[in-house]
Amino acid sequence: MTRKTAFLSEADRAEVARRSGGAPPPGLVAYYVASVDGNPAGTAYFDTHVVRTLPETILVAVDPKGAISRIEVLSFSEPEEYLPRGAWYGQFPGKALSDELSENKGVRPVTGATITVRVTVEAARRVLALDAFLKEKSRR
Amino acid sequence: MIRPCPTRGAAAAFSLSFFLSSFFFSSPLLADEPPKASDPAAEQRLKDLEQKLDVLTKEIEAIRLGEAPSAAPALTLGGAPALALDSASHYGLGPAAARVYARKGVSIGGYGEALYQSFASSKQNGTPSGRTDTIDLSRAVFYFGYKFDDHFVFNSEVEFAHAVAASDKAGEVEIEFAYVDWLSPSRAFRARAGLLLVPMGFLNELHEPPTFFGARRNTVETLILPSTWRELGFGGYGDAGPLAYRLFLVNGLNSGGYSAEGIREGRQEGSLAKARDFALTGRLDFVGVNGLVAGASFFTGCSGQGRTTTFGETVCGRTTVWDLHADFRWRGLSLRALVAGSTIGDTAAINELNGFSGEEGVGSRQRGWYAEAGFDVLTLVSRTKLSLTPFARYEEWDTQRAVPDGFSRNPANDARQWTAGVVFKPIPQVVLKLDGQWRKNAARNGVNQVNVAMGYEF
Repeated sequence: MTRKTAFLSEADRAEVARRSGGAPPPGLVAYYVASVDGNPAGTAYFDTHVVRTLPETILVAVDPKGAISRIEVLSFSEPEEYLPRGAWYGQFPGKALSDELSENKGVRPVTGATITVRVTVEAARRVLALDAFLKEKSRR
Repeated sequence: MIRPCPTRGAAAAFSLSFFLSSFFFSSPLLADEPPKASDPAAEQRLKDLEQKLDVLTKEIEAIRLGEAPSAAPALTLGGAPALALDSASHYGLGPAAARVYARKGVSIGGYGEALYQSFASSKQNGTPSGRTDTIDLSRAVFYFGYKFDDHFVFNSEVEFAHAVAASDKAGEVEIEFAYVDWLSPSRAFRARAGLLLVPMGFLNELHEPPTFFGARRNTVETLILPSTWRELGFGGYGDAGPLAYRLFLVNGLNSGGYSAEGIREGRQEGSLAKARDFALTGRLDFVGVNGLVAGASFFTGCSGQGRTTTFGETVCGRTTVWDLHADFRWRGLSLRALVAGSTIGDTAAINELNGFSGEEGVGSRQRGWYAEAGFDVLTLVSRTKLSLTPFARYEEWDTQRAVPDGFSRNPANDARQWTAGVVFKPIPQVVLKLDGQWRKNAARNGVNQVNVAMGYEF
């Protein structure tokens, strides 16, 4: 597991935001690249965002093909009524950045946790867009 | 509101930029003569800089993530070794226990809605309705929560209804709920005590305007389930596999407030509530399929609150309320149905004590149901944050389905209603609603109306 840091310019952040359709990532991004026998196994990102008035931090693991392999909630400061149950996060593995990765499309909503659902989907899209962007950048 | 993370993050970012600026503007790296790669002093300086930069980026990361890094779960990626952050082992929690824990502090939120109602000029039977159109800030609600520590959380809502609370106005200021939760590491059992929402139906616990169809709340969950229904008490809640439950002991209703329109005015709402009789209320939901909630709830307890008949007999007035409910969402489709009913004991005595006669009497049975469907048509187009949902709802209710001997049913309380309209959300937390309501009752004096509403939540 290797920790890496990416420094994103305003143009980089705007490009990631354009791809994700949401808010841009921060200019400083730390991420963790895993490899097995020298082959890439996946990359993990942290995304911190505001749910209602307080922040939530999730960990998004992305597989080498650019699809989500796992989402884990690390910190949730709002009342737990607004936190979806664990099974809801089970919808994300295998999903790539597409129109399907949207609430009311490929991601089912949760009665009573609509704001959390929306910001989590946005975060997942942001991480996938960032992952693709960083990979493209490293190949240039 | 305490939001330490962004503030500290900004400060750290400023420190980093100051450091970098100071370094670059005074550094020989910016001099006309670049240092030679073989210069040992320059190489050492570069190494020092990289080290400092690494430390600073880690610091910024830690600040941005708040407490999260210390509880990072073991993460494997495609069989790779577990992710090990610098402080990952400090917290000593497994993934389940570390899954959720909030920072201390105050949380603020709220919601509100404004409603315009335009009534038909004539009733169902063709006589003048006599109703005047109204526009009203129905409610402005502010949520305040406070996290004492990892186990104790306070939640509350303060509602301002109808804009102005004064002796010559209809407005009210109410505490909608105010309770303290005890959170265990597991979601299997948590405890709650205080002024809490009775866990029945959908709207009683979830009534922010963007979360329900219609400019007005549905009538079944207003009359048969008297939303917003809250009482003082305590109990537990949690998840057990695909099931979610809640079970509370609360103060009973006060049958002194019952009427032919049902139990709504029997709610005590935590305001110097009579506590001679208590009630048990609970709920069980199946939540094992994403997008589906289906279950049942109940409330049962005496409502006499110490009142006695003219013969000196204590009135129990057992009131039992129940409902079956289901809500299903798939892509842009939303389906919801609910059937609810209640039975009231000792209604003859209650009517006598309340001074009712004839059609005014409290019914011994109430019943109602509704079904609704909507479809967000903008889910058919490419990704957009806009939402446009045509919907329709049909409901029936009867607050005097049965009455005690000596009393008669008022046919006006046996009603049915169609509601159809559209819900538009420019962003998920702001909603505009337009709908029509066609109401009929057995007395043939129903009045149709058109509603326009604006709502928000944050």
